[in-house]
Amino acid sequence: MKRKDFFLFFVLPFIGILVIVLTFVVVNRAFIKKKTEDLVHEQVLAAAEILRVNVSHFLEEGMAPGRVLGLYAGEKNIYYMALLDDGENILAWVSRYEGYLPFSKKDAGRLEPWVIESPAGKIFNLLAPFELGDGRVYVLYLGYSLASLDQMLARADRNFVAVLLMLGAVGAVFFTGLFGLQKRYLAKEREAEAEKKEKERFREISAFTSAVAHEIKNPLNSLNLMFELLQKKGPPELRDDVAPGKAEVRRISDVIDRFSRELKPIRPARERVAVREVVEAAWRSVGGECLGPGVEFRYEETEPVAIEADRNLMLQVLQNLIRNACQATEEGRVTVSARRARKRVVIRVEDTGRGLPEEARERLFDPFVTTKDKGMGIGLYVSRKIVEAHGGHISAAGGAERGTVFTITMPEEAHG
Amino acid sequence: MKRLAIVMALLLAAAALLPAKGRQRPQEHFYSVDSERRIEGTIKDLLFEPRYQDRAPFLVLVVEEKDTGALYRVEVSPAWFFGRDLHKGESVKILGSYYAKDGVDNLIARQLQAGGETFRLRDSRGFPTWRGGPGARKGWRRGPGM
Repeated sequence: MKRKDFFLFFVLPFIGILVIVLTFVVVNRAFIKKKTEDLVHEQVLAAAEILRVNVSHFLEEGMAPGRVLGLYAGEKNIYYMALLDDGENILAWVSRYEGYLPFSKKDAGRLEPWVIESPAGKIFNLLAPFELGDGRVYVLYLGYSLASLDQMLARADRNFVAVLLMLGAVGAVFFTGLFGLQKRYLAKEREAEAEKKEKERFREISAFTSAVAHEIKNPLNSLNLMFELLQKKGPPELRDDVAPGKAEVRRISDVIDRFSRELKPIRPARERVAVREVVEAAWRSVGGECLGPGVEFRYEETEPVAIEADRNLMLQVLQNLIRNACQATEEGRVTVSARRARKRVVIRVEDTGRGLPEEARERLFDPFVTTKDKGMGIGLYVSRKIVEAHGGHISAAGGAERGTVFTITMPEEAHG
Repeated sequence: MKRLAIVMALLLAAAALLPAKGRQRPQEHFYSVDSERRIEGTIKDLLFEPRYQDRAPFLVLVVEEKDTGALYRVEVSPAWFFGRDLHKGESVKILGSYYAKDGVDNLIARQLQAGGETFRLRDSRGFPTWRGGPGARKGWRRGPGM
């Protein structure tokens, strides 16, 4: 997937969702904040009213302003309080913080409450004038702490950030997962497409080979009959010369037969096959083709390993691989090993021969590609087709020191 | 018994005179933003007035103003909060709230500058920095200024 597509299909929707959620949260938060502030203001106004009534009551009783304020000085939410006369002179004051009474002459006469910021949080300020029965006028100046509101808003902010982070994290995980799934789906789709093309190609090769075989076999048969006739009825001095010609015709016929046989569509007849048995059978049939007498063959398995496969087809694959290994090894070792890996069986055919160049490895399983002088380049191609027809996979790599390693990964035998 | 009654009466009277727990007595002077004044002078004396029910001394300076020669009693901060030694004869610049009492000129200091350092003691509305907020940890200061 291209970077642009990733951005369009994953990053952009994610950002879009985030923006929508953010907008909703911010608008909602502003609304709740406004409502909460209004509510708190109403409550503070109500508290101030009660305070004003109480203060006026004590003053009516003749209590000194300083003493009256002293009664409320320990209240948790009252940061400061002052009593002013009608000339806005401060008669008495109390404050939780030493010398802190942020009243200014400029504030005198303010009708609406106001909020100031302080290191101890927001403080709600109010000037509440009242008149006693004897006509004396006082103004109560009150500084009421909005710390609880601040704490609530701070907590809401923290929760908002936490939710945002969680949303971001969940979104990132979700979209990464989605992206991964989509990537895997596309990869599978590509694989299926490639497989389809490969099948098509195989069918074409198969059809072409059949047609060519058919077209060549008929004249070859005639040619063979003619050579036999010449051998039987021809001049005796020609008979010895006819024999090589007849052998060549047979060889051409064999090649065509082999092509036709190898390139037939593969339909595995599955059965339980012990890997050891197939490997031993393959070694018996092709071991003789080993180049050098010093080639040692070895089969390794830690436990009996079996696969669900077509015995003959798997024999053909192992014959191909062991033959190749033998032919590439003049002296050394050809090792076949089998082991279980989860629900798969891994069969390795390893030799210590001359090895394969890197560039040859890439096209090794293509049809008509060979590194041998006399090979036709269909053995490994057919081997791959057989392994894939069983739901397996085959690959080639360089050996640990030298030589080549072919690795076949096959589904294990079906249980139950 | 009679002696016990007298002692009890004395204790009750003393309790009535003491401020109730958690309450503060009305204070005499507050930081009035309307009476802010800036002075520059030299320290004539350093006093540590007992405050906080005698649990901590409060740093008070006697400063002679350079231009007028007037003496000011400057309330700085609790001694523990002011993180620098001041000395008699040292030049200082002070911004604070002025009040006069018993013929004495007083300043409640908000900013104090000494030796190229500025100590922020209260915020712009007079909130004491040693009671919390930014710079509450030992005499918040900044470079030359004021």
